[in-house]
Amino acid sequence: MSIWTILWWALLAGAAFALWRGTQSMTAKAVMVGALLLVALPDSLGGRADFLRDFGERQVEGNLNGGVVESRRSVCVFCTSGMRGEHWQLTARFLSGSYALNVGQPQPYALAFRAGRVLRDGQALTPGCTTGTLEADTTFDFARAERVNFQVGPGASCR
Amino acid sequence: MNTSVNARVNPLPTLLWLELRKHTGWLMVLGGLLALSLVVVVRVRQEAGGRSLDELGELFAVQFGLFSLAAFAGFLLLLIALGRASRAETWLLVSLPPGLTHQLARFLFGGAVLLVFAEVLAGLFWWGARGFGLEVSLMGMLGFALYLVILCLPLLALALLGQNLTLAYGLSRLGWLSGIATVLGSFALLGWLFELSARTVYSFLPVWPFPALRFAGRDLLQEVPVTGFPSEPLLYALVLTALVIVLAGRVWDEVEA
Repeated sequence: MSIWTILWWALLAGAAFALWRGTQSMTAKAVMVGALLLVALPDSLGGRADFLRDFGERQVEGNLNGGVVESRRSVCVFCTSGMRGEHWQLTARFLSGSYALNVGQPQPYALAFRAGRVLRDGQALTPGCTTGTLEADTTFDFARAERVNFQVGPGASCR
Repeated sequence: MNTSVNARVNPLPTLLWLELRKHTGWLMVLGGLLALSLVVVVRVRQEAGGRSLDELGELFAVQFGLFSLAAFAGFLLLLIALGRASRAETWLLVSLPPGLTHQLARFLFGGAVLLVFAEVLAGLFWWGARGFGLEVSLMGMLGFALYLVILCLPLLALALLGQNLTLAYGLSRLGWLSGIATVLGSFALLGWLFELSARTVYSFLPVWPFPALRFAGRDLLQEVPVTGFPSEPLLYALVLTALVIVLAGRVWDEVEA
């Protein structure tokens, strides 16, 4: 924690003290202290800066054995992704975006989704469970896909 | 005896009328902005003269920029007008209305003015866009204006709250400090609202459909992966607005009563 952060917080604490003393109205006191708390803790849940930086950027999602997964997400709700044991897994309640899979060697994959549109290299998949093997670099495009479960690598399944 | 008579009188219309009288000057400025926008549209339509958007991209960009500027300036003016207004001339009302009614009247007035301003601006833009052969659906455009207005409502309410807080700090002469804290806090709050919105868009509410946008018979929005704007931010904006108005009413009660 730098000296400037401490000074900033001291300044805010001083302002809070002055504003608490400065009025008879309890609501005004509460609102002012709440506002200063909001200012003092801009990122208390963490990750907002990262979130804004990554917003819409192509980012590396994970590494397959010798391969790599990159995404350009527009929207992903209740999203989890990463390596789970041997395979890479992506689950989302709602997903619109594009995933580029550079597989070094043929990889089995399984993709389940309930509704929406999913294209594998431009070819539409039917909702439900799809399994197969990725022979070469492949792009998956999701458009308003719901309840997505996407696994790539050894042991991939729709569960 | 007198109070029982007054208790039945609804103070809201009177308060609204007071707001109208107080803000005539500001309304004229907003009307002037709309008149200028009308001049822009008429001039642009003359320039366009039936030629297509391909040749007139810059002209369209200029029109778009001017309209964005007009919308921004009008909204800012309205915020200042609401934030500046001093205590109401309550002498016209025999009994003092509760703070919530008072703040609600001011907010309704501001919101109505903002809505009319935005809808007229959107209608003018729609008319101007037609000069380029860009087919935008009128209803969709008006709906989009409504969407933006709802998103801006929290700022209106926060301006009201800030003004009431300044009143609350009138005696201790700390109005400047409360003003700074309110502005900084509003920015932080909007940051949270943005993050919450961005993380939950398209998750549980139906979308607010895009205005149909066609050029030379081609649907310009075909490639877009979603069919509309997310409605979740509207929900958050409305909840926040209601909360802030209640707070403003309470502050007013505690200060003026």
